[in-house]
Amino acid sequence: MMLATFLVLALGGGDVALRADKVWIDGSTSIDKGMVLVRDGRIVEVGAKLDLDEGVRVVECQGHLTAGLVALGAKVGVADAALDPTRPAMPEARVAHALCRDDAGFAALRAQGVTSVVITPEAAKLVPGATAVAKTSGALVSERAHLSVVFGASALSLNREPTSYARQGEMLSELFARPEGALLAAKRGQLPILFEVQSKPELRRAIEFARERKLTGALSGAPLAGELAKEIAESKLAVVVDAGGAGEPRREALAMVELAKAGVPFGFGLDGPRNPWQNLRLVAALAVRHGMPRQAAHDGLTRTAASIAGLSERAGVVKAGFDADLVLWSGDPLELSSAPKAVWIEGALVHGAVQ
Amino acid sequence: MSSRQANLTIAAFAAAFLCVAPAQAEKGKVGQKVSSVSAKKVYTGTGKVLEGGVVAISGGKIDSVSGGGSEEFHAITPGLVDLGARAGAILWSVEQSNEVTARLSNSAALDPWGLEWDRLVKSGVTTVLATPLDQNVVGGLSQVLKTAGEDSITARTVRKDSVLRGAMGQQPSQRNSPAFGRPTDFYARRPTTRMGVEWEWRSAFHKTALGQNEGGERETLMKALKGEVVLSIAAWTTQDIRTAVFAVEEIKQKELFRSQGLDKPRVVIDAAAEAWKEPQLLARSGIPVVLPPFTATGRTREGALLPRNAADELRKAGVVFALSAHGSGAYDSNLAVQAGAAMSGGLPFDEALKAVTSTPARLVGADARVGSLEEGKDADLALWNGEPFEPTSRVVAVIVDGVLVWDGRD
Amino acid sequence: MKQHILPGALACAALSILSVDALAGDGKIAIKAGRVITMNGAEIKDGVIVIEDGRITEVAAGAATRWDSELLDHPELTAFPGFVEAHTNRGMDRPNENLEVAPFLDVRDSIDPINFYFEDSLRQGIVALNIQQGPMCVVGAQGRVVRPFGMTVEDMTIKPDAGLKIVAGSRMGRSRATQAMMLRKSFTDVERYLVKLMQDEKDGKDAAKREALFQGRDPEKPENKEGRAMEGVAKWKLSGFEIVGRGLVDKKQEPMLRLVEGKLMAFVQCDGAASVHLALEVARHNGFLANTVLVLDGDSFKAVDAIAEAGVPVVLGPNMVWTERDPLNGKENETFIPSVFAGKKVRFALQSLNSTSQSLWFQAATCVSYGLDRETALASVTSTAADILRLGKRVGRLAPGLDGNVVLMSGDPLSATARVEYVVLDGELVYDRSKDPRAKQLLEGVEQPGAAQQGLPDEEVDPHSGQKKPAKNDKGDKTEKKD
Repeated sequence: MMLATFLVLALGGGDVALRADKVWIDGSTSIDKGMVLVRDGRIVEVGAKLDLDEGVRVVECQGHLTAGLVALGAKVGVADAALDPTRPAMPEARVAHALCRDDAGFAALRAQGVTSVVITPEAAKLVPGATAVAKTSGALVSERAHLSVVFGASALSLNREPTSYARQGEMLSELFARPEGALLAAKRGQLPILFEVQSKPELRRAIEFARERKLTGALSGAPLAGELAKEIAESKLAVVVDAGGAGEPRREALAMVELAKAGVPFGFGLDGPRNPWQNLRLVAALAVRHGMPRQAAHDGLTRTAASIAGLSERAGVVKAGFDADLVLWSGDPLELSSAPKAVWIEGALVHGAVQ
Repeated sequence: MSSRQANLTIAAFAAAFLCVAPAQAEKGKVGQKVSSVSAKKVYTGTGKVLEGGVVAISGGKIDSVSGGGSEEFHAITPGLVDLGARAGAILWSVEQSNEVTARLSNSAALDPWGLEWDRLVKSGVTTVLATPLDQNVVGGLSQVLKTAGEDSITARTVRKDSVLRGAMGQQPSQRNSPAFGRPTDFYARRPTTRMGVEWEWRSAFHKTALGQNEGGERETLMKALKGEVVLSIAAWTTQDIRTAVFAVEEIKQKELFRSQGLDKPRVVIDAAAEAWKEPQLLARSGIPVVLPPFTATGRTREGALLPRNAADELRKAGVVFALSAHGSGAYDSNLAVQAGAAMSGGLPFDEALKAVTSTPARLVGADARVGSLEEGKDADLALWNGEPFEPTSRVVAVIVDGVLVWDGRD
Repeated sequence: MKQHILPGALACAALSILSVDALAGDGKIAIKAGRVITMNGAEIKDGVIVIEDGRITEVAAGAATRWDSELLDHPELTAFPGFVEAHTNRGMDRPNENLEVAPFLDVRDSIDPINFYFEDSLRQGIVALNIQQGPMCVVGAQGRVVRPFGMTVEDMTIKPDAGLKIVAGSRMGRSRATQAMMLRKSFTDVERYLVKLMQDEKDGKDAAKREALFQGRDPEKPENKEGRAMEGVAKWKLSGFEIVGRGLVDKKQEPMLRLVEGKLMAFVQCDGAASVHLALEVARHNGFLANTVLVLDGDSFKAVDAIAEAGVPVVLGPNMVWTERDPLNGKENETFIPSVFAGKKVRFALQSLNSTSQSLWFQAATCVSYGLDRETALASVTSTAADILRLGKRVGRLAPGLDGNVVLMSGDPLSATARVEYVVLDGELVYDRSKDPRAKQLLEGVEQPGAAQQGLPDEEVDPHSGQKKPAKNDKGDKTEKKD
């Protein structure tokens, strides 16, 4: 178990209860002076006043305690191994097989309060392969979480077919007309699809493609997706907001607000090639500043993102039975002045300290 | 200037407001429906001019065009039509893994939020032919569409996949061989010469007639040979124009094509800068042309010469022609400037107007909807603050499908 | 008319349009036109312009024709004073110099009389051009106002020493701060030089004298020996400068001293609003604000209030429409720049567009289409442009005493279909369209024998963005000779 690495920092072998000024269950529910009981890396109980057994160590935490953040679509631990533009499609490829668990990027994410991450293959072909889900401790959770399907121009190349949007659409249709393996699983809904898009026209084509074939999953990348919030809401697809990707921060923030208004499930991505280590939480805080309800931003960082990542049964909510992936913040995490003080993954302290 | 203080008669969006909507709004609001608009002169694009004309609009269509109205604007013309607009002709609009990709449609490469549409609208252009980039011999299917309206290419399309686009000359061949070493990408594909380009064209036609191709390629080329889709061929110089005409005439004469009804292609030669050098040939073949933008020196791409009197010479020879700004909306080179340049070469105003409205609409089969101000046609109007095509005038407001889509009055 | 003996075939080709054989009179010419736009009061119907010894002597309706003058009688044409190009860096061998501070240079040595640019200008009805060095410098050469006709630069010259070129905008590869520092330094360098000159004089050193002799000035001559207190309104005037004989001032420094003393104009190029403030500050500090013309580009119009307050005239950049994207919806918003200046009553002149070679008439017409009144629009390419160049008494209007320049056009100068039919410069008929082979090619497709079939560069597509690459701004004149 990767946890061994963090043994020194761990909360200890026995039960530990964390008591914080405020415990956020999810975006909509919080408990003042709440407690979280952790045993064997999992959350056992959450409440205002827990009836604790004797011998349970209580750790007093000053600040807000939330579920660990879930980053969608980060290029972490894969260096350039995921980039392979030589052929148009590699549906059976898995980014998990290229994963380097010692990548320094994991530590950078932990320092931001991110505990889970969806790692995507480079969108340099029509079907670049399957995504992986990992904890930022480096532990792999799923080696085939989604199938990445690219509607963006990044799949086009002058060195091989296709060079055009028209042929891209035609080839994707051909692939889904006679699916095998991962494509078949995706078509049957057993494997959610991450549709990689950049521009709004690409996003719209992905929606049409999904609707015609009743495909499920999420649209990933388009920084201005929110400007098409209504169409996306009708499609039932989720969205991974690639914050900062269009270089128009205010317009992007307003677009995110539209997504929340339309009730589209969304999480935040770190896919922006311009700034791969941009801060997930600050992007959400910026959206709140432009009018996004706090609850939607909080869930976009945790609960909804976990569900898009396929972790809805174990992460994203501070809830009994879920992984003890927790972050202690100096204040409300959606206030810009707050900072992560301590980060736990499955009960092990992986960043900072409780003062 | 009276036109600048003019007002649009605005009908409010919601029916509930109709009864209370002011008849004369201060200045038109973009996005609102317009029920009628008047001008000192209404040029219908069919040769008629109405002094003090009123265009009445309902349901996005023209209800009537009549005289005796007020004078909100100096002039009204049909929204302009550009068949050489090159809008959306981005690198990804053409599939370069093959030289002939007739079946592929460029609609996927068009971005309704692109900035080019607004620029075109501001220059009075309301309908364009959007073609793939001319990197292939036969590039693919092209769209006749409006430059304004809903944020959807489908909704703006007047005729989907109605034109098959291809090119003669240098452009499909010029980058096809690597300067040094082994070919590394598609730029090393065929053809590399003018004769290679011509061969690809004839090969595509003959394969179709001989049943040697299949699927969408065959279907599309059959449609082109039967005249069910228009064939737009870019050819700048005399030699390329001649090549295109001869290729078409071969089809019309050969039994192989005639016996199968494949001898009826409807061809338009685009960017035909040197068409004026072959007026008889073009008149004989009945093939219409679209002229590229005029230049300061008279020289265009591919070394072609396009003098100012080219349009008028074509008119005298009886060749049908349209003008194009190749997508420019800039004040120094837009379609109105091209019409003015053709007029400076002797083309009468009425003919210049036709060459940017009704003629191009007809050449792509969109004349049932656009290109002239007639009852029942789409209410696409360019509103001018002076005489159209004079450099002292410009389009100050534009209506598309009965909706005010731009108002640039002070 | 003057006879020109032309060496070389190229020169012959260039001037073939000039072989106008009418009007062989000796200095008197009367031009009758159906309409005379004087830019000096009302238009005249059926007017006559009389030119004697190269100057206009009479502009009147139905004036009596002198029995001894040649007559150009065209009731169907419109007479017009011709256009004034208030700033250009074309027509030179190369527009840019790689010395950063070189006020001692003169565009005289770079102007190429047989450059097709001048012929094209004549064809567009331009009668005067202010040739200035290109913008890749800090302090550039002295400019020169020329007419687009003549075999030598002297023959072309209307006004030598037309002003120094100064660049306040950032240059390619340099920051705005670097440019500002270098511009300020170029003036402190002059100051330091002058202080040293005074000190050397007090110390009895003779380095300046020897340099003057080397540069061909005898320091003992009375006019060189005579000292004069420093004049002007610069904030750093040196007292006691009269001890230095003016002939001792190094030629390389002398133009800057003249500028600071208020005896030379400056054309200060600004690439945006930020550089306008630098330009005004440097001009105020060094005493040449009253002699400054700002040559604007980019979003310089946003500094219109500062420009209006400073009271300096401007030459607007070739592209008159400024486009900006709205950060909230990504749409483009346009500003028509001349309207901004007209609104604040700043005197402005226009420039031709090099990219599409739309000339001054088109630029002025466009102003009318954007709502400027016709008088202001026309003046910005004629009389106002001449006034800004301080040549209002020579070009830009049809009035007695001015240079004998008349352009005869087939219609209104701002109409799409009007053409320049004849151009008379200094009383000499120098252009006749019926004898212009290049006009024949452009207008009628009659190709000149031997003319190279050279096309425009391809519309290149950037393989990465998929966007068309912007057309290169044609400033170098190397290519112009080829077409």
